[in-house]
Amino acid sequence: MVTHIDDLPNELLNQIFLRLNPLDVDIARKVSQRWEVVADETVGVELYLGRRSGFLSSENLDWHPLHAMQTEGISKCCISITSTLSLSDDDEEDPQMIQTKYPVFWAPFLVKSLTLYGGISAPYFSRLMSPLRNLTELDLHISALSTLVKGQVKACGDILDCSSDHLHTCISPRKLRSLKVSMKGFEFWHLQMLRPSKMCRCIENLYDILKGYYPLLQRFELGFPFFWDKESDMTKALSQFLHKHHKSLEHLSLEFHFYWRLEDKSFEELSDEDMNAYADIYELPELSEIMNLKLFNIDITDKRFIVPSIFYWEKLMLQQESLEFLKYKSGYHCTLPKCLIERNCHTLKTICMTVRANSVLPVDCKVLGKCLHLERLELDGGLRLIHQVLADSRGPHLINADSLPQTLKTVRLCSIYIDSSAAEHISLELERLKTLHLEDIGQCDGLGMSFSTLCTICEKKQLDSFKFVTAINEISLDNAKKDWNQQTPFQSLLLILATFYELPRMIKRDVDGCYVAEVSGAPIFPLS
Amino acid sequence: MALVRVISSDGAAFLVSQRLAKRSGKLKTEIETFRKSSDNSEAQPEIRIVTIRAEILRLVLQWLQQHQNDPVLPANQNEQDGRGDAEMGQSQWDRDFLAPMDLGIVMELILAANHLEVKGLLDITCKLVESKITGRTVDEIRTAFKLKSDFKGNEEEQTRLENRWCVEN
Repeated sequence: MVTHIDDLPNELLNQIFLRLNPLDVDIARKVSQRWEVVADETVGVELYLGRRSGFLSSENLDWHPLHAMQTEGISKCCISITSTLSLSDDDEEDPQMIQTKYPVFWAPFLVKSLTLYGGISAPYFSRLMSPLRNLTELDLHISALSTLVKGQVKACGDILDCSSDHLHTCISPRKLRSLKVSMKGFEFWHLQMLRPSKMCRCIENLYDILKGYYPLLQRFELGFPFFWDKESDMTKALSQFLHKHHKSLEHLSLEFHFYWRLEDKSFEELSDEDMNAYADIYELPELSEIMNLKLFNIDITDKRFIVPSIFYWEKLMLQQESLEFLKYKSGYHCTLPKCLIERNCHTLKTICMTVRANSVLPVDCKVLGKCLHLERLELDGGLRLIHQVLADSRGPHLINADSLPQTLKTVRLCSIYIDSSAAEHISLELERLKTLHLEDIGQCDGLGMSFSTLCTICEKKQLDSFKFVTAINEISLDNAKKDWNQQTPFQSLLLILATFYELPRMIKRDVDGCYVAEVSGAPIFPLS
Repeated sequence: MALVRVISSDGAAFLVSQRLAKRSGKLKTEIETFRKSSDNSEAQPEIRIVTIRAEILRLVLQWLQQHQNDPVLPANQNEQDGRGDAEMGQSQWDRDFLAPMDLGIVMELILAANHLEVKGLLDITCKLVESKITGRTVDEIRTAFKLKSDFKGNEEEQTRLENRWCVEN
């Protein structure tokens, strides 16, 4: 039997690849599936280039100088540039200097994934991006969008000639599978500090990127501040983008945080005219094509307002047929979408929603019982809002808890009144449950978890962690106080905590399986 | 001169000097363990290498013989240094040594050199394989190593397209 190159273990094949020039590795990875795997391990260097970005300051990363890209075979890279690095009119038009100041990738074919943070100018963006024909993942931080200024730089020779006015034409669409616009580390005060003109530029640049067509795009994620006076435009731009990509797109995630107006008016001063301006959102064309999304995540949470565009996104959600991950959070609490869940019951693994729950229209768990693979269920009822208007304390707002699927591993229920038997079923009868969080589930009458259930949970030691906030039934607590003498010290301690404080999050200790409380400030507070 | 018997997987015994054998990291540790476990310090160690057949073991020992006076290369160097050493150490003799071998033998030599921890030999053999990949197209590489593509139809087509990009540029 002749020994073959595939008889070498991965480490040795890898050693051979390490000696190769990155361009040759890129060819070698096309030889066979195994070579591809080994080669990907070889040139998968992730490099952080440029200045340490303030948005990533909490992470301890190894930043390399920008010019490292001229010598390293980089396949994955994150670039952040100092803001001074943009040419002005005073700069000498020396091509040599431009070369050193604006380096490009040595082996552009290798670059698969690129993350951009602030400081990059539009012409440099074009120069850097255009050769990246194999780019599959592009992640633009909001800070990068704010510095990409079109036509800001006078063209210097051929090198920085920005041949096109559009950003999206610089991105090679051929292989792009994932496009993200993120606002990692971007806080509210950043938003307050930004001049409206700069924020406008961000938005325009976002629209520009959205104008592109990327035939293989599977994943689109957007994290962005929400602007009331731009909502209509933004929804239109997004809907057109989705329209174009409905065939390939599988993962859609839109998260809007921080509510703001570009013009310097506070929300409360919204006039009727302003409101009329948003009305045309209702006239958006409906998506006639069915999108085959696996992941659907819309998060537009604002406690004060219902955002008009949410109805558009809700329609999109209700069309889906093969969802695995469903997350839908907004100020508007819809009823649990039964038809949608029934249609997707064979694929759904995660449901995370804000739902409307009251005693007239309770959340019916029957439909959830059809989901054979459901592992995570998070429901947030609109109770706190309702509380202010009418005291709907009759409950329960969740019925048929006994039909919840046994596949559940994580359950989190907030602001939904649950009666004691349902709470008992959820916490004790689900065999695979590992994490449980119940908050604001009612405490009067028959509502809330009874104290004995809490004690059983602690004895059973099935859960890895649990947290109950205003969730223990008051009557059962009173009764437990009467039987004070018969309790173990642990139960007494639980009782004290449940009566006077909210129960801290409890985590199972690996050593002996006992629960310890996680108390902020103190390392761990032993409670067993 | 202290000797050691090195026995191949197919039972052929080679009698070599311990000084030579110790240039292999693996044999060195084996000899030392033998010393520690044996009462008689004069006894001749016997080492069985179950993964390497006689023909290959002979080649390894032949290479060691030729290079017995080279400075010992420290193990665990990073690849960059390794590359430099290999170029430096590749003599005419090495080239003649490797020239008549087919790739199957070279692969066995790589495995043997790796197992016996002979860094110099591992370097030159890997370099030989590297030279068979450098500057070739995917199809040429497959022919050279008698590999078949196991990508599925669509992927294969895409791969070809990708190659064209690379070749054009």
